[in-house]
Amino acid sequence: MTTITMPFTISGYSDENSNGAGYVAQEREKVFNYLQMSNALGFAAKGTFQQLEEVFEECSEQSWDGENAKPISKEVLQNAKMFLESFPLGIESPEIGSEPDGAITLEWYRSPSRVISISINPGGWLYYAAIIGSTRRHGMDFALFDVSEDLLALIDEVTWKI
Amino acid sequence: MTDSILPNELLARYITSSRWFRKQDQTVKQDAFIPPENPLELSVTRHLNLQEPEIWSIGNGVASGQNRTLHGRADVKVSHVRTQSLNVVVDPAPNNPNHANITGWPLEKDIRKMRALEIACGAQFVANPEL
Repeated sequence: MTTITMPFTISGYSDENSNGAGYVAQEREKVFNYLQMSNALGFAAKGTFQQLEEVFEECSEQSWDGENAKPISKEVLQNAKMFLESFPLGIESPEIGSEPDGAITLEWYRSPSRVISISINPGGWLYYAAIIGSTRRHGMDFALFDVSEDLLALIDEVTWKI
Repeated sequence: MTDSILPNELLARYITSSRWFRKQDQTVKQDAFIPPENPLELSVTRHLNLQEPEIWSIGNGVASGQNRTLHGRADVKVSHVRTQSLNVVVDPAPNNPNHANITGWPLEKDIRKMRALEIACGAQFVANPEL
């Protein structure tokens, strides 16, 4: 899989008052947003953010599952967007879903024995669980940080084409 | 209470979201098996002594309460649930004497996800024949 990483901070140009650094940051954001619209590279063009909005619409009321599911909050929606925006370009789009505890889920799936699910929960935390062959992995992270190398490696293992 | 439910019994988890199953291979996502919080209990219906139309009728009642569509159900064996160190306890409701709850979920969400993922792998999706 080919991915393109564009860090949000540029080493040596961290002074926010610097006009040069500000200009570079603005241009970087423009290029990143442009590439997000690329069918090959960006989640935006693949409809991932649209799916997020649809899930929010479907699950924003109490008991949206017909039982006692908790509604998905705007905070969770925003955190899920921010988390997805932190991904490098070129990653396969996840399927978006929802859980009865008010979480938004991102799933990458090849088969029942190659799957990873990430939950964006209220409070800014994310939780993940993966089955990759005989390997089981689960853990937690902070959704407001950029996606970790560890999670990217797990997603890569699931989506890797033989 | 737990002992009265046999390991080979089937439990139905009603699928009221189109995002809880994968259309391409008709498998169930772990999302369907994550319990709501307070309490950490997942609502299911025992197949015990029920005919197919009765199982669907109960599911239609669940979905219609919130104007949801009943897309299908996920059937899973009690023994598979117990393999995940979870319990199944009877919890009859006025409109569903076969109602039960999956209990004993860990407090850590990532471990709950792992258990739900394993249960989903062993579950069989049955599409609503009326759709």
